[in-house]
Amino acid sequence: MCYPSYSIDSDMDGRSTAVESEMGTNASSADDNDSIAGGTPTNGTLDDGIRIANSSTDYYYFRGGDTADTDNWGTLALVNTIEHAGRCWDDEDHPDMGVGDMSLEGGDDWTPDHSSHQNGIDVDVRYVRNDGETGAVTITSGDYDESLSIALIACFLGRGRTALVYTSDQDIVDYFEGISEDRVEYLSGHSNHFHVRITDPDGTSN
Amino acid sequence: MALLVAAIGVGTGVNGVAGAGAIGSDSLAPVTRLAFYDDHSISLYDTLTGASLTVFSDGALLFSEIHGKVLERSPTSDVVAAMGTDEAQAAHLLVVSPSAGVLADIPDGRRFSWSPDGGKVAYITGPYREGGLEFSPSGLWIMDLETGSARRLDEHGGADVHWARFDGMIYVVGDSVERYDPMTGSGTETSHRGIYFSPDGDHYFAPSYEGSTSGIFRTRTDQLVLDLYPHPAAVAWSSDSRRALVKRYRASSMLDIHAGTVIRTFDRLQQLHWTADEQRVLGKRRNSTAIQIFSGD
Repeated sequence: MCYPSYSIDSDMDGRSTAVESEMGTNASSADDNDSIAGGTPTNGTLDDGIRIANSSTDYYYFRGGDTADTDNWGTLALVNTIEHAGRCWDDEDHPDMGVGDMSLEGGDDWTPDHSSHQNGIDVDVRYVRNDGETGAVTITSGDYDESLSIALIACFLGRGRTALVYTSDQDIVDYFEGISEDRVEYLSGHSNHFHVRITDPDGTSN
Repeated sequence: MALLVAAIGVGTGVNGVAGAGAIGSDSLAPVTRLAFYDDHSISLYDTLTGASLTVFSDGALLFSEIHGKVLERSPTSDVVAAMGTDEAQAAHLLVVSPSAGVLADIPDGRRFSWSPDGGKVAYITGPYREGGLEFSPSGLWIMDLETGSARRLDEHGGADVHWARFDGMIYVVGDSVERYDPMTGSGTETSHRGIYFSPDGDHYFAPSYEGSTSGIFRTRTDQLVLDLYPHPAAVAWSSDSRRALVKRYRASSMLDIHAGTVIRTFDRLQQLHWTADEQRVLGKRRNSTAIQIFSGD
């Protein structure tokens, strides 16, 4: 579905109106993007990160057991990638996309829960259920919809900034073999979420 | 924590042949029986006779590598430690014996490693979590199989644990690699980047945690000597520490550690083991119950 840009981003500054509302910034005047992914995903920081909205076009943020507004920070590039995937995913026939752990405010160490997610370029996303409901699902559950999960991952891969996807569903790895430039990799520990990492928007030298 | 341990005799009632070479193990002596799993069962495969003995089966529990290491045979007996999940995604760390059945069922047991003498199991507990590790580490424990008692070494735990043979210490992956003395329980931060040490301790394998660098490192310098990508999930060292099997989804590999080269690859082979003479490799392909045997050179 094609959206006029101004309907998503009223001041055309690269931050969606939903995110501006979440962050409390002015949606009618342009803001600078100062978010910086410092270091690496496993040893990095996030400067002037952006917090994703609790919900917007075909996505919702879930915090699980984490404290509100502590784990939903990212670079603007990551937030935009998620929102782009949400708009790609916009369809009444399937449940909204569940967006989980991103980075902590300021990034930095998040062990032992995460080894990476330190510099605002990683996000965990729920697989899709087959009962039309939002909510958690694992790939071994009878409620798991593999085909829709593949379609959702394709929405991320369709955004050129998506560098890789980790999943524990071997069928998904097989599906994308040869058509995703090896951006979909098998990794254990990804049975209740897949992990999306984008390319470092400000380069890897800082 | 609830811990159920029945009376057992580790090292008795079984063949007494030491275990070695299985993925996740670094013990030395050769074995003829190797532990494998299917979705709902654990079995021992006799490499001499080709016979398979089911030691545990429960349709309510799923054994799957999607959660990480699934099982490890004791280095000194046929007792097997294995992690399964139930329909509620609750984890169960089981210790099962061919002769005595389930010796222990530890709720929320997520990661584990046998002591070199086969008498204890170090393990990490943690409740289910969405995202990240898919559990929240909440403790590092040692279970003594002879007494049935469990002792907590640390209230945080970590992402992974390995009880090293070369120095008898327990290594845990957290924000750094910690070394725990199993006797005193004291922990020390190390500069290592992985925990799966070769039998001689000269090298270690670091799997990837959420995309961190995976490969073979030199222990003394923590220098990466073999960068492995795509990321392997597990290792089985040869007893002389010169070769290692690393398991990947698409292509597992046999490595020459000192040459820094790949000796051969195995297409989509999982559950890799060395045979007792370390001349062959056994494994299973996905969705297959057949155990396949390959030459080791």
